[in-house]
Amino acid sequence: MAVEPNELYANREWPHQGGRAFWRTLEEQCDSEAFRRKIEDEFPPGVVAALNGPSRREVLKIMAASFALAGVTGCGRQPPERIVPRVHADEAAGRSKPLFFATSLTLDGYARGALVESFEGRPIKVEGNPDHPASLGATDIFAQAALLEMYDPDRSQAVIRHGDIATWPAFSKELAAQLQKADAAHGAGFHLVTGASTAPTLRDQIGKLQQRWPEARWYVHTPIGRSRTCAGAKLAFGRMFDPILRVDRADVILSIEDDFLFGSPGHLRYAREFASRRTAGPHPSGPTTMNRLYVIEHSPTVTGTNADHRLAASPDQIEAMTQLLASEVGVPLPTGLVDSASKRLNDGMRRWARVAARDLARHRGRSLVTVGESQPPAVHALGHLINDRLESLGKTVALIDPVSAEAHAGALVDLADQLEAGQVETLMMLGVNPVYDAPADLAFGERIKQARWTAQLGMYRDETAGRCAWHLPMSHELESWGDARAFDGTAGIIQPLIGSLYESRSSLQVLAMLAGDKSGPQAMLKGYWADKAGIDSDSSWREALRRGVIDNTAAAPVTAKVRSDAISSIAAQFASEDTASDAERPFTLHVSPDPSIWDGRFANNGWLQELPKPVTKLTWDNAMLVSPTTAKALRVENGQVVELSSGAHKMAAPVWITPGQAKDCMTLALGYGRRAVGRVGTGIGVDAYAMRTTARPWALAVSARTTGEKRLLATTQHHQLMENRDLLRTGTIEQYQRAPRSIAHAEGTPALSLYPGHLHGDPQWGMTIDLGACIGCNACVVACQAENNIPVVGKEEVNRGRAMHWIRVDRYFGGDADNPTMHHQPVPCMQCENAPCELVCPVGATTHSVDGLNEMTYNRCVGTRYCSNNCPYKVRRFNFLNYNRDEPPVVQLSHNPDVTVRARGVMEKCTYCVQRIRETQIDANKENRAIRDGEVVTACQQVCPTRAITFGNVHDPDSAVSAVKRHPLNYGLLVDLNTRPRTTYLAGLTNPNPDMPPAAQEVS
Amino acid sequence: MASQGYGQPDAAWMKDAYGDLTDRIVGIPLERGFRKGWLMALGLSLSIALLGLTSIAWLMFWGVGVWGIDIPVAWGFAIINFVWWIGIGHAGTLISAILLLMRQNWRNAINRFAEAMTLFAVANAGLFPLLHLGRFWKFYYVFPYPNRLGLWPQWRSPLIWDVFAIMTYASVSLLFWYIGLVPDLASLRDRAHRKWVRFVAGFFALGWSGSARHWHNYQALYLLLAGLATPLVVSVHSIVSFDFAVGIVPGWHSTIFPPFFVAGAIYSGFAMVLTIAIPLRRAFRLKDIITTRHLDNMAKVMLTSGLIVAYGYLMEAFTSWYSAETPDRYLLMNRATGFYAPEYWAMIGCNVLIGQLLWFRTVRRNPILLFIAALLINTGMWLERFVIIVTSLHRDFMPSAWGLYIPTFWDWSLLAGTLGIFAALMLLFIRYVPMISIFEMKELVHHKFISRNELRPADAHERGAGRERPAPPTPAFDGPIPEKALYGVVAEFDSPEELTRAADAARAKGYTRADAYTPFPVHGLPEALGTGGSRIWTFVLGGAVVGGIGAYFMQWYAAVISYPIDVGGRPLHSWPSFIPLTFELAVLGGAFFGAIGLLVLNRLPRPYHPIFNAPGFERASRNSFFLGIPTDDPAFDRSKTRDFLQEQSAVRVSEVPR
Repeated sequence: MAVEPNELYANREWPHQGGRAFWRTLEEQCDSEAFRRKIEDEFPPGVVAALNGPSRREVLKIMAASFALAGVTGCGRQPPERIVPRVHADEAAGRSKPLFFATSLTLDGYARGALVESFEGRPIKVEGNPDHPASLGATDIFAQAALLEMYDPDRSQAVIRHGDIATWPAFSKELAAQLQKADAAHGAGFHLVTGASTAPTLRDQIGKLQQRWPEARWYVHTPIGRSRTCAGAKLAFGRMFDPILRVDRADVILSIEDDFLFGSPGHLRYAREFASRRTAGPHPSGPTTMNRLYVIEHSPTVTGTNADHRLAASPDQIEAMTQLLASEVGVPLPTGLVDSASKRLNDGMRRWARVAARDLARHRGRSLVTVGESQPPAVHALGHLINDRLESLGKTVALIDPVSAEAHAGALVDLADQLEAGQVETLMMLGVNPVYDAPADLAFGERIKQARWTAQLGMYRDETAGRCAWHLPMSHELESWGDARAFDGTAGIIQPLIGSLYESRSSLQVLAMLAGDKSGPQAMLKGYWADKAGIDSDSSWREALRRGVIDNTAAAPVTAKVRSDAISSIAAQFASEDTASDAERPFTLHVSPDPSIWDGRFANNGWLQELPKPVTKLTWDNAMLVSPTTAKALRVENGQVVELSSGAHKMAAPVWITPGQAKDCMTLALGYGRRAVGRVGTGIGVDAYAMRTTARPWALAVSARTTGEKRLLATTQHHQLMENRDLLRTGTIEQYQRAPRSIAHAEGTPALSLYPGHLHGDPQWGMTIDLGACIGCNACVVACQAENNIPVVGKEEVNRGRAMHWIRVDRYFGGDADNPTMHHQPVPCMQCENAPCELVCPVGATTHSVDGLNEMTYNRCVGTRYCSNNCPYKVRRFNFLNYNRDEPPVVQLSHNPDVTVRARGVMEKCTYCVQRIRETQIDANKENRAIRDGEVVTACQQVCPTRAITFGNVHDPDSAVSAVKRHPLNYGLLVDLNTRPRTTYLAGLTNPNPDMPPAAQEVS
Repeated sequence: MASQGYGQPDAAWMKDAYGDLTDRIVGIPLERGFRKGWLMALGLSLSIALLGLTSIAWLMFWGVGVWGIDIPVAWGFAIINFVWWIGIGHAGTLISAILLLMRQNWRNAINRFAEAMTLFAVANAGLFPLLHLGRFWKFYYVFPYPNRLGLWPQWRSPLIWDVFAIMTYASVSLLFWYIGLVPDLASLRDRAHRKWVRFVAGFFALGWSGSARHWHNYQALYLLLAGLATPLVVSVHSIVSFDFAVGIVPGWHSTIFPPFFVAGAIYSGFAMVLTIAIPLRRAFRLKDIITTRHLDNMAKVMLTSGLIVAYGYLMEAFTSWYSAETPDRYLLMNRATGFYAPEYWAMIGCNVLIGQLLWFRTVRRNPILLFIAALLINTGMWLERFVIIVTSLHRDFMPSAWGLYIPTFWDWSLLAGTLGIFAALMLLFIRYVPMISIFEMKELVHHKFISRNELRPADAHERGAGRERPAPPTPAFDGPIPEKALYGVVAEFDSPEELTRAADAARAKGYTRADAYTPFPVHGLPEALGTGGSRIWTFVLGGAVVGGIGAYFMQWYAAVISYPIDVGGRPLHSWPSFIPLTFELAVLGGAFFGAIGLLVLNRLPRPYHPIFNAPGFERASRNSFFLGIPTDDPAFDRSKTRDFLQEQSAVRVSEVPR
């Protein structure tokens, strides 16, 4: 059946009454009695009837008509003055150049530095800030998608009081009454909830508030956070710490379910440091500096897919493995504990642990162990103890005071108790959505009713907004002033790139309202940083803004001693833990942050929803990941719904069979099943929070029952095997050193050709992608989407095989289905010199440029799609329907003005960011010089945290890309077709431990 | 009056036979009322066609995304249907042209409606390349039209060759069909009672009088067109196969495709001819015209082409295996065992297994069995295109980009719609146009009775051949015609032999401008009249040379001089790619110039000619043979000429006013 192309923005009904986005505000503003009468006087009755319960389309129509009529009546009243056009424009005032502004974007409070491109006053692209320690010039998918989030038409746009539109002045009037009550009670009954935050100024404000009202309570709520990490440090050292990894200094890394390459606050930096030790370097004869990564995890993550040795283990086994490993490296654990751990593991696992432990111990001081947040504190503590034994502390692992405010505030459990006790007079929630994402056992949605006065500041009119007396629209980070710290404590100023699109305010502004501070957020920031970092002059302030970081604010590493009673308290904790499954509940359900919409905050972001998840390649959904063995045992296939139950909690979710998933262990991503967020994200997927409890936030034992139901899950990669085709090439470092060319075994371009090969101009563009460095984080995909105005097509279209991404990341499995190796391969257009697509176009819509680009002329394209059929790499994308139709005007603001928005019936594909090439070329021509190497940076290259992509002039032998292409690992895809691809790959290298049992060895 | 046995029939009997044939065939459009069955069939066809039109409207409104196509399977039903219809459209021209060249006279009974079928199939086929465009409203980009940007089509693309091949094929088929129809339209004109029918038929008959000169140029052109159309038929499906063979997709990239496709086209085309002929001969009682021998012959052609198709499947599989290329070998396996294996095996079943039934004479001569086999083979040939397009595309080089193609309602409705359009056009055709070539049948009857006596006179009598239809009244002239108003003298004969003898005598007598008018071309008559040696070949040759050279020059100029741009790293002057278009335009030029030549040499169209004033001349397109000597003949003398003609065994001699 035909799919509505505009499903994303037009057809999804807003879930609850009164919150139609974008135009509804106007409509409701019009809804006064006086206005109604006025309209009735001016329009025929049907129009007024339509205004009462209209669809958005009707409102638009009528608004347009009324505006047009307003214009007509306006004609008569026009002032007699004439306006004068500017005939002689200044030479400088030609096409304005985009400007870049440094700012920070936060995720769970942690800052990643960004440079945001602003074109004529509107932000159009996010890049990384090279000066920022958590970015180093790269960004992740969330930072890229922040742009679309800001322009999201479903964002909350007005102050709402009990479901009706209100105003900020009305709010502050009511707030004043609450503040008086709080003043009178020294803050008793006043409860403030914020999200995880590292913002120093915000903390300062809250601190001042707490001084004023000693009885007031402050909670930090975050569904993911770092609380177990901090608790683990407390168990080991007696004090909370945040461990900072020095990945580049480690030769051997063991990650115990820590997705440090993708899901930790410092992941961009970690990924860069990790990749810097993964490439073989230009000469195979040089000494190898390659690191080795061991990963134990229950479900494949980005980090797991990059492991040299990956072990899929259930949470219980992970605990046992950690204990065994600790014991093997010499942590004096009680023998009883070690024995019972050993018993819970099979032979292969025990051997795995021994070999890994020996390897870690062999690299004393140059090895590191890191533990993921989902692990219990005892495992974290054990990780610290192992690091202590390995002499890693201070070398490969630094401990700093926790950066996030989480460690200093109360937890939501306490608030729930207070609510239950009826102690809450005033409840203010800033940027949190606990009704949706609090653990199910808190029943927050019910308990919140116990509060006498509630207000929530939020970006969306979400689940919590519906339960609060007041909902206040929150400004996006790109619209507001603020500050934030990076994972290592480095602070940076958040500056607004654009004035607030709607009547929204930031957390800082609302706190200022509480404090009665009328100085404005910029003054607050200036004041704070003048005190703390001596930024007291205008020039030093401007410098801080310009650079995006404030110097010398990184947290100093602390030398910590392991507590003498650490082992006994760890052992005691292990004894009290009860994660083991039993006969009644034989499976373990594990929840995890979603690799594209995180904890659900990005649920309404089309770019992220449509982003294929790194391992499963699923879009638009979460699914219960099960291992092939478990699927066989349960007799389920992809999409079949399984019902899980654990005590009172029940939940049904469709299954997705995932190689590399631990046996009997299901994983369900958080963030889906949103009940109120917007037209994109409401009602898709399954709400995993329903199974979460305060005591067991990450894993719990469940029983499973199959149902007859089957649901559609849309994936972008249906076929997982390589079918013996040499598309993705990998080898071991040892093989590489022995015979460097044996891995890529590049056939080279056929020497004989009937074709003239007349591409000899300068420059000639080319690209290389280092498969050894690529971690599969998807950042390139979103960056490309943002840069090139690539439309979002929706779940049904993705399912039909019509996703529009110009660069896709292919994922292949190798070896055993239950414990496979996993590989990523980004595939953009190969820009073939002998392009098969060009030959078959009847109208010459795709031809070659003199600088070697396979160009697509949209205006000329009639849409025969022959080029796509004849493209062996299948990188061409077709506008099967009018995907840009009915795109809300506000989303159109996010478009890159240098790139055409494609119409229906037109083919499109990767252009090597031709707009960037031409821009640079124009600059170079103006200065009468050649383009410098590295001057043109493609969007995918720029965003890449591991610098896997090199781009440049292949005609220049001294260019970086030419050097990479001479590398013995360089090979092209399907070169035997004589397509002469300009995009080539460096074969990936792994560094397996020769002592490891072969079952875990790479097979590919 | 005629012998009832198998001996040589006499002239009067033959005359009856000609008249009977004419009346029966012309009678279908002229006399038959609206039959219930026909009306119901038309109504059904039109409603299915309406569904197709709805589907087209929906498609145009939303875009090609309403179909099941995707990446990697970017071509679906549209191209499958296109190739299928084009394949069906091969039978008509093949029957008309190739069988003509091979002197297979039995074709005369079936060529007319086979050609019509070709036209309608090609019209349907032509719809799809247009509709399948993402931006169909920019279809004219494929033509070399002058534009501000100085852009040209991209000559290396098989799709461009396709455009020209299909257009040439459609034009030449239309010409061939129309030229063949002109003498029969003259019959229709002369038989019609209603004035407007006479006017319309007369308009399209262009003033055809059946003169010996007309027939002579006509036959020369018809033969030349057949000579042009024969390689054209082969080229068109070869070029359609290039759409695939030029691509690098495993399963497409194969040199066997052109002959394989041509054989497949003949196979499906003949199957469709049978699918139509078998019900037709039953409904209109034409079993003595479309005989069992016709069915047998067509089945034999199908058997042969079906075996070539089966060989093609075998060779495809062999080359896939022999190439030792992973993707090619995978394709072989995937076709046989993959998701679309049912389609593959159904195709083998229909095209290879069902085809083998045609070895049996009983099957070949049993209309019902043959009809079922033809239907299944048509389905099988549709499936073949499905297999070639969908199974090849859905899993090619990169396993990560593999996907499926699931047709939607709009895919199916469009396919059904074209079947409806086709059926409706066929129904209108058989109702309003002589569906069997009358003059060729008469010629056939004439020839037949020299060698074999197949049409038994008794049959003809049973059908009432002896009853001549009263002809519409001809203008009567009162009194003697004044000298000035006299056009000439005309004699009417009962048989071509008598006419030829009279023509010989006239020539001997010194008449140089005498002309003969016959219902079908009479062998030896032009020579007898001294008008032998048609110059129409100069037109055809000239047109072909102009078309061919013009096409090559245009491509070279566009690609090398006017808009030199690197396309796929190929040389600017990619001469092998320029050949298909050169050939197609040469054929097109030849055919068009030939048609113009026919008009010029026969001085047509001519709305008025005095010869039509001859009393009873309407019989000249039925079963009478006329010899006319005009006044401008140097040897003309009103009374002598009259006497001379009286001496010949003429039935009647009359003076003809201007």
